[in-house]
Amino acid sequence: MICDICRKNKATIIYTEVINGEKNQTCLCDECAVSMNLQGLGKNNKSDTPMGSILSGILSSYMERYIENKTSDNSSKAVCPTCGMSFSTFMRERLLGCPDCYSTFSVVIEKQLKSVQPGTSHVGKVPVNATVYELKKVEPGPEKVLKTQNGNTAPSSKTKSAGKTTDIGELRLQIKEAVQKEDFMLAAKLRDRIKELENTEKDKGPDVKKSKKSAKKPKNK
Amino acid sequence: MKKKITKWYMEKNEHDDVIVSCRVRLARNLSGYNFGRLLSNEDAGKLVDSVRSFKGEIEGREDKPYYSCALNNLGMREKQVLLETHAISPDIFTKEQPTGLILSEDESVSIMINGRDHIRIAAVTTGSNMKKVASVANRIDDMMDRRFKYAYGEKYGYLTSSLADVGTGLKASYMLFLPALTTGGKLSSIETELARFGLMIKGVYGDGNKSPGYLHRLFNRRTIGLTESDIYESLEVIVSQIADLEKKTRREWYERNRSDIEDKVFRSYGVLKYARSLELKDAMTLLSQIELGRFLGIIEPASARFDIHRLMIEIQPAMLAASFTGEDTEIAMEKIRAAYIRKKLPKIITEKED
Ligand SMILES: [Zn+2]
Ligand SMILES: [Zn+2]
Repeated sequence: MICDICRKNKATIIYTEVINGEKNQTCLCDECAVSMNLQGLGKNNKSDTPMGSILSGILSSYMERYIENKTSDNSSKAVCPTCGMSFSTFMRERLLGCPDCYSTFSVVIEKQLKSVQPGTSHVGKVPVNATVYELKKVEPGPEKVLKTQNGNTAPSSKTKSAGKTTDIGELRLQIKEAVQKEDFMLAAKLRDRIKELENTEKDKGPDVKKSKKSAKKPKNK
Repeated sequence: MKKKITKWYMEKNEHDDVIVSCRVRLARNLSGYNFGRLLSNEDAGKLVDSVRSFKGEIEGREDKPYYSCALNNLGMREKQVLLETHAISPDIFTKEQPTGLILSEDESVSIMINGRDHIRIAAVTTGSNMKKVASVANRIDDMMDRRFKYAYGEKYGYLTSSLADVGTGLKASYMLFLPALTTGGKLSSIETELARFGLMIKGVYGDGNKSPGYLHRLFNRRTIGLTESDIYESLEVIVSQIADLEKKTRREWYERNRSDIEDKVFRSYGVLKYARSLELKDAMTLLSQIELGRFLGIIEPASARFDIHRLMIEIQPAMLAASFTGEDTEIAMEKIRAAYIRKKLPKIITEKED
């Protein structure tokens, strides 16, 4: 089955829209599904047209899955710096290890909450005497492990500007953040940037690859 | 000896024929300790000691006696009694680490320490008085907030060990007696409906249609992105609709199968009154028939205070064993149960005579 939009790639997903009782099916490939979301096909989350929001839900969750697949090597190695809870244990047992786990696994937590809860931010009772944990930008996973392994103590680059960094691992983290904020435009930019980097690295040969070895994981694992 | 049937239930709250009890539970964790799964034994000990010391304070402020214990040091049977009376939950029951419990003498308030969360405050009452239990739990929560350092996040609210509780940490539940909806097979369609409101329903003593005693718990699944009062409100609206539907279904059912149901009710009474051996599941089913017969006006217990749901708890294995004072240690549980029920079951005033 070929994608209805680009007529080039293999379609991996079928959307069914029902507008005024008329059924409308579209076959999409990965790439087009992502870019359709960018064009605002479903981006009106808060709109009162139910079709729009349902579609948006499907699209954004699909997109998250898409991006997660591309970055899964990073998150699957994430470990909470405070309690040592690993991503895979968290996913398997669905239990957190400490308050900081909420920062460590925020991307996944946000996604899981979104699927069952009416909102992902607390609006209820506020304690008077509590220790308040802010969501820190924890940078878990291979990067952290890598730094200690290499003895590189340089502070992690907190590049906020999209795609400025040439570190693919960092870019993947930024994609996750972007998706979390539902900034799909940024996510797509970052994704393109990764592609670009991967291509140039291929061209540049083994030297550059070596220096980046850890941040980018072998595809052929 | 004929009385107006309506009398006994007119005196009660509107939905007491369906709502057995209601309960509020707040999950709280303290900063400085890992959550349950990653808590060291040493920290668990510290946590339990620290929270148990709260007993004196709560006693002073609530002006009633509380009992406090190291739960993991209790014998299996004592723990099981607490489980059967719903004072503790299954996950803390099986935990080997130091765990603790603060329990009010009337067992209406409990604070579980180092279960799935560091602290779980629960308040319960019979019948439907969610406002009352909510305010009790809230008051104790305020007290503990001043005394301990809760782990709280600006974004995610009360930080809990499971995402199923995060935000408010609140699970509010009604225990419901649903013989007609269960038997009529309507429960699964209600379950689907409830999902839309972020609510769930589960068998108390087993799943779905097989829950003995037709007891089910209705509770909020959603805990974040809405306020505590939103949660109470949605539950209240739904519970009264379910209660109305259950009662309507009972009456319709009776209209259609009058003699069958009357036979079943009297037969159940006869078995309970004269059986010499009763399995738990059977006993609960038979007691449910009595309760249904009472609602439909088929029979009326001579004692107005007779509480069938209390009896259902008292015939659970550990409760029953604890109340057994006889000398015969080899006697089968089923025989003790039958004897216990015979003793507790009141005489009935028969409404209908053919
Ligand atoms: Zn395409
Ligand atoms: Zn942690």
